[in-house]
Amino acid sequence: MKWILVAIIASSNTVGDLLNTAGMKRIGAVEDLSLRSLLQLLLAIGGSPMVLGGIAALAIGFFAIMSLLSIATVSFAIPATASSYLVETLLAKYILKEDVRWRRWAASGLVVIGVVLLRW
Amino acid sequence: MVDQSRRSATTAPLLEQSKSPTFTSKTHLLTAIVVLTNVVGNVCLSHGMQEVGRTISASPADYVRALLNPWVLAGSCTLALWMISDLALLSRADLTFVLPVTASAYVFIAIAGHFVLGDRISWERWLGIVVITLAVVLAEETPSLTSKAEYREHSQ
Repeated sequence: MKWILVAIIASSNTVGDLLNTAGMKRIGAVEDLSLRSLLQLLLAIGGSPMVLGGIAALAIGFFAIMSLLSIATVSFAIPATASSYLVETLLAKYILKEDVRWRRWAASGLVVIGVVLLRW
Repeated sequence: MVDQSRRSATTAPLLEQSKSPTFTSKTHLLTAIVVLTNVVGNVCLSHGMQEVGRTISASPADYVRALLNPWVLAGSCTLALWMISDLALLSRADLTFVLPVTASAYVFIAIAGHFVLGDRISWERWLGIVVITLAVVLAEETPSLTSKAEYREHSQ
C-alpha cells in the first residue's frame, strides 16, 4: 500500500509540475504581489485548462500524501517521493526546452541524495 | 502578470528582461515565500495528520473530517498559499530552477523539526542538509529563466 501511494504521488507531482510550468509561462510573468495582481492571477488560472489540470494532478498527489502520512512517517514519505526530481528534470529539458546543463543536473541529483540522507 | 499595455513590450524579450536585477530579486522574494509556506504548511499538516490517525479512504468525507483538526486546517490553508505562490514563481522561472531551489524547504523542515519538535538530527541528516544546501547553491548560480519553448504564443 505504501509503495502504491508513493507511485501515485510521484507521477501526479511530475504531471502536475509540467502542466503548471507550461501553463503559467503561457499566462505570462507575474509582475508584483499586490492584491490586484493576485486576483488577476486567480482569474487567469481559472481560464487555463493546463494549469487547472496541473492543480488537479497535484491535488491527487496531495490526498495521496495525506494518506501516506497517516500510515508512514514523514521521514519515509518525503524521500520516497523525491525520485520524481530526476524524471522532472529530464522532461523539463525535452518538453519545456529548458537549458539544463551540469549545474542543474547536479542540483537535482544532489537533492535526491540529500533527501534520502534526511531519512535517517 | 503582464499588463495588456506592456504585453508587447515585455513578453518577447522576457528572456532578456529576466536577467535584470529587479526581475531576479522579485523571483528570489517569491522563492522565499514559496519555501516559507511550504515549511509551515507541511509541519502543521504532518503534526495534524499524526493527531487524526490512519486515513486511507476513497470517501471525501474522511478528508473533510481530517480538516476539522485545526493543525490540518492551518496546514491546508498555508499549502493553498504555497500553491498560488509556486504558480506565480513558475510564471517567471524554469521548473529545473524552481525544483532544486525550493528543495531548501527540506532543510528548513529538518531544522524546524529539531528546534520546534525536538527531533534528534543524526550525522546522516546533517550530511543531507549540507548536500541539499549545495544543490540550492548550484541551482542559484544558473539563470532563473532559460526556457525557449513557451513564448511562441506571446511573440506572435
